[in-house]
Amino acid sequence: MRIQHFLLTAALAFFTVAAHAQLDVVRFTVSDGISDAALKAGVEKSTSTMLSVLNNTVITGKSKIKLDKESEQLFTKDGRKCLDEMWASSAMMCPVSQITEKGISMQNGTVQVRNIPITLLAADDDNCEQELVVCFNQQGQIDNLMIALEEHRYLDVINAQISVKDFHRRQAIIDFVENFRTAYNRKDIDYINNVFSDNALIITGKVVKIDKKKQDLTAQSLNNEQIQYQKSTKEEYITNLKKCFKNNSYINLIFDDIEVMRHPKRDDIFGVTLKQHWNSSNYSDVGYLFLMINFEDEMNPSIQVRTWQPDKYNGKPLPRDEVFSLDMFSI
Amino acid sequence: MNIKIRHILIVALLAFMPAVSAQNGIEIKTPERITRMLESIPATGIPTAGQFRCPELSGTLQFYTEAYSGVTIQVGARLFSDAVRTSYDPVIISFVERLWVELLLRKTTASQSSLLKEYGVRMVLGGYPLGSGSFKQLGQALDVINNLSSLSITTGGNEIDMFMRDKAGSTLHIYIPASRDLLFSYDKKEHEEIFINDMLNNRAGYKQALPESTVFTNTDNGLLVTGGECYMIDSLRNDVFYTKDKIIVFSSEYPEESMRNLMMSAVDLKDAKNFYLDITPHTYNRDIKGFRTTMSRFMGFVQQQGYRFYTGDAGRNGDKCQCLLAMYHPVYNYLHILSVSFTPDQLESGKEETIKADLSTFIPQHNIKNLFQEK
Repeated sequence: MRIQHFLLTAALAFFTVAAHAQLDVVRFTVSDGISDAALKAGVEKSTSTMLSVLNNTVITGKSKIKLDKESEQLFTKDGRKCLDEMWASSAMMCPVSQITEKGISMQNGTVQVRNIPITLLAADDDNCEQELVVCFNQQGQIDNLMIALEEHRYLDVINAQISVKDFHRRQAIIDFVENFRTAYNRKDIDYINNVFSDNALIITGKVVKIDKKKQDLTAQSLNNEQIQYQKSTKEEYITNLKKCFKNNSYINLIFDDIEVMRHPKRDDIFGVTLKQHWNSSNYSDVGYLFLMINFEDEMNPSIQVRTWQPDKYNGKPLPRDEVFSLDMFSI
Repeated sequence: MNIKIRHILIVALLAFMPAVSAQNGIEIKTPERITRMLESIPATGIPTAGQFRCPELSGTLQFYTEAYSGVTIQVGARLFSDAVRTSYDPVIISFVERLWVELLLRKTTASQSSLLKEYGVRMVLGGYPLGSGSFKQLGQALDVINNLSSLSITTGGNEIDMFMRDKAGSTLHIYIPASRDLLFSYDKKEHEEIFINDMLNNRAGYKQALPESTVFTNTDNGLLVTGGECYMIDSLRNDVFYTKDKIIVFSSEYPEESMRNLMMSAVDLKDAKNFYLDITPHTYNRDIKGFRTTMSRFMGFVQQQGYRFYTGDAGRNGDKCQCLLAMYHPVYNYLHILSVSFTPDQLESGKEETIKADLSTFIPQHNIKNLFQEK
């Protein structure tokens, strides 16, 4: 299945270069069902742009969908979020270049178009060809996206090839991460001390202000915050943590958006990236936590790398490709 | 401002928070969160009106505590009638009443809003979250609760929606993240200890539960199967296997299907009662020892907990078959996993058989974004 997709992608890429034709471009036309000309034009533009961007993202091998300013306007906030979430489940592309479909006007003035062919690259052969349903608001912006399947079936399609054993192992990692979080909330320094490998690599990011006076004029016009990273040993980290536990009457850590990634060669090494909300009596912050966990000894997994980065600097969210993940460390 | 608050607190319980010792390395204590809450309630001055400076709070509000095995496990503000408490999910009701105490202990609306934000809870009155628009003070929400004309609780997703309407037509939504950690007063360690303690003391019997569906599909190995609903992956399902004559499969010829039928409680008690589980718990508290229980007793216990059951075949390891039982709680969004390892001949020996099992409990599911990422 993956080979077929690779060939399809490679062919598209080749022809794009060879013929100078933009084969990633999809043209979508509404045949019928939308009487408002402006809305019809909006629906056509939004759909064509989105499908073309999906194809282009696959062809160029980018991990994330990037839209220019004008294209961003074709989505509502919810619609954009939905697109990113679907992409996170599976990269997808539209295998045809010209689509004509009816628009379906809903009672509240919104519109849907259905039957848009889409290929889910993470699904197996039986399930990779699916149909997309796109929902628009009254201005023709994309507000929601659905695979024409029930949600749980969609997940089935994406996760069809995962074995029970792999599922069990990955749930064991979620369990370990939850125990790790519990240890902070309980201020259980012994537990934390036990789960860190003795030679663990610990990296903590800190937002620092740049002294603008010391910069040249070009630099002065740019952003004035940057993240500085500090490396510490397990011993240093535990000593600081003890002080932190002592100075706070309570700590409430919340983990969110957990992503689990297995090392491609080592079955027992996993990377976990998550959003950490630190709430304590004296201090609160939000940041990205990355843990590299060694499961060689299943009963006693150990943390080999821990990194923390602030979730934003210069008033903007930390770009996803700057967040530490397993592929940034060589083992 | 005429403030009338009557805090009736069983102060005596503050002084008594004994630990209950149990077997297997489990010691049931008052949850740390409850201890912290009790410590933060002023020990003097109760029930002095205005003690918690919750402006414009009208009517009376009663604080209460609840105990389990002799230790305090809940502190709450009595918001709801007994009729409401018995008709709706007690965990959600208790959470809201506990949250209310925490909110009342905060001195300003801003700090109450900040606590709600920390917990990810949204309290929305007439379309406005606390501290915005016309929803200026917490007391306004209490007025709706005190004059309740309707209440509904919607569960099943990542957020619980508690919707209330009062007799004057004002509406109050409390949106709560569907997370075990938030809804229960226990943290994972404490909850695991209580769960295992309850399991060891359980006397509920096994009940055979046959699927309602009569729609069968064929399997590759000539059996019939009903169910078909899966959890997260395609191969973890609520399937029950039948022979072609529509008899529940339980034989050494089909060991994995038989074990999965047993774990779905589909087999007859006479087939289930010979099996003992030698369980190794994978818990936060590593002092909890392994324990032995009958399969029927284990299933009898978990059958009562409101889980959805899914089973899967984890493949063979030598002559050992390995199967998995996932017990998912759809309201509190957590998972228990029982993984068993056995040989086919154990199924039909007709005598007591011990099956090795590993148990992981309270694995959160609400905060997973992508479990199956590959590099």
